[in-house]
Amino acid sequence: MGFLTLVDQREQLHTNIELARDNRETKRSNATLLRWGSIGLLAGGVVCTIVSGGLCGLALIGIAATSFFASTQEDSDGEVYQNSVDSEAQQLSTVEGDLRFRQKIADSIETGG
Amino acid sequence: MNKERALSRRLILVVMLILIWVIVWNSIFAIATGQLLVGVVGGVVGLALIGMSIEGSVMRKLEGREVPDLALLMLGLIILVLVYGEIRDLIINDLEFLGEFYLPGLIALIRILGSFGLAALLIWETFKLMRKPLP
Repeated sequence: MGFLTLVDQREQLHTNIELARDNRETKRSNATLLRWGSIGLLAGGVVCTIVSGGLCGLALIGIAATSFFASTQEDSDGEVYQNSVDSEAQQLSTVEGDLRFRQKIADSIETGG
Repeated sequence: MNKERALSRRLILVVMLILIWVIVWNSIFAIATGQLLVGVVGGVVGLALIGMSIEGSVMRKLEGREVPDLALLMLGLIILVLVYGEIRDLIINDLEFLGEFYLPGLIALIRILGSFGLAALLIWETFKLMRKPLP
């Protein structure tokens, strides 16, 4: 593969990694928000149980569980993006290795070595 | 007022602190990663909770009330959700990205470490509450 093709490939991989990272961070932030919602609902459930008995507390546990399971789904999506970041980072390191190798060859031709 | 297994002001404060800590740091994280709307809305909710804690009327109304078993179970669930979530988040957190320092990773790390500290405080307060069974 030619030097310029490798440079283009490196740029493309950089763009892909940044995109996957942005998607991962959005998923992470959503998962944290949903978990925060679960904790808030459970805290509301504690207050509700103390003030007016167990029934509304049980209802809030149910809603908190829904929010929690939604957060685990966001976590899983985030991990998918993380895997994509990892695999593209691996490819990037191979491409950069190839580029360094070609640069060394070019340098040795230039210096006559 | 029942003095045994009564809700303490410190326990209420720890739960409020957990809610404030997670939402405020997640807002900072969202802003740092370019999700402005999520960050601003979270920040406003965080400020409202801080205001509620400083104003203190909710705490005054709840302090000293008897804590039923179901409420204790819910406190345990809060601890589980908090710790589980922060461990999952810690696994995919990086402080360095493509060879450069990554600020959102540091922001998330501060939130995660603080959450662990607050979870430990909540465990401590919940055990203190459990050690005082109703007669």
